[in-house]
Amino acid sequence: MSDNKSFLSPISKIKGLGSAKEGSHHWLMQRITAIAILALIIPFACHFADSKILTYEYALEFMKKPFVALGGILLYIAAFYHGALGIRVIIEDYIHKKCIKMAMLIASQLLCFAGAATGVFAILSIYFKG
Amino acid sequence: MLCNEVFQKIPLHFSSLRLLYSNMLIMVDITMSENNPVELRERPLSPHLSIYKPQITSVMSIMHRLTGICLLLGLFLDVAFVFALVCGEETFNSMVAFINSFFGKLIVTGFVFSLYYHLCNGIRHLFWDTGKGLELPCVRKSGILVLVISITLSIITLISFYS
Repeated sequence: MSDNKSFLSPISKIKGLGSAKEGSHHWLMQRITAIAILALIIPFACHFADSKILTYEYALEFMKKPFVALGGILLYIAAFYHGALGIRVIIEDYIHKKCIKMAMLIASQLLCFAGAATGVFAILSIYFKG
Repeated sequence: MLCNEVFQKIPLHFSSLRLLYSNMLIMVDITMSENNPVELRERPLSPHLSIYKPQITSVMSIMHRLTGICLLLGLFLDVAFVFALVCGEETFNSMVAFINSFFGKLIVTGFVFSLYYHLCNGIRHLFWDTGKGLELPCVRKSGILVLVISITLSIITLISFYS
């Protein structure tokens, strides 16, 4: 009893309570992806400031440029990763019932991955197939 | 649980009255705890969101979170846009028709403002991470700066997009 030096009780260790040891990595990845998004989004924001993008021919020709395609792929990966990290914190903060929290966390991470995969697939298929 | 305030008001020489009172409370407590175990009892909560004055610090913080959520939803819409480009001209044109509708214009406006607000406030967050500008007057001034810059940039972008 008295030689248990941990702050966690044995029952809480068995239940898996306490720190998941992922917090600092989450914090750092949030900042790194933020910097990546910052670098990638400025040229896109400048380009999307005119509504030519809403015509089929211009949009297709725009997406076929190599730098646009590459920038778009990198932006989708960085933005969805940043968003997945962010939505994870939001769900953990506001949802307390364990089963609902688990379900929403898993669903949000899967959806973000699916979104990134769809975006990358779309850009690649426009570039290679037209 | 004995209600201490009431219990202490009963003078000590009224010991039988104290005993009676404590027995009553214990009976009430036992009947309460049969139906609602300790974890499930409804306990009052002191008011927080309903009484705390909204300030530029707190409002901008929750706006950062809100715009983050809006940006994620808008990102899915953006993926749908590029995917519609893959699917062919008709799909793309119906997507464009949705964007040009009133609801679509609302979404575009919200997305553009969310983008610039989250971007500028994110830069403010990065400054805070280095330890700079954490004093309260500086926080308020940088907050106003972020608001002014993001509103200006969104107005410029929306005007050039819709003309």
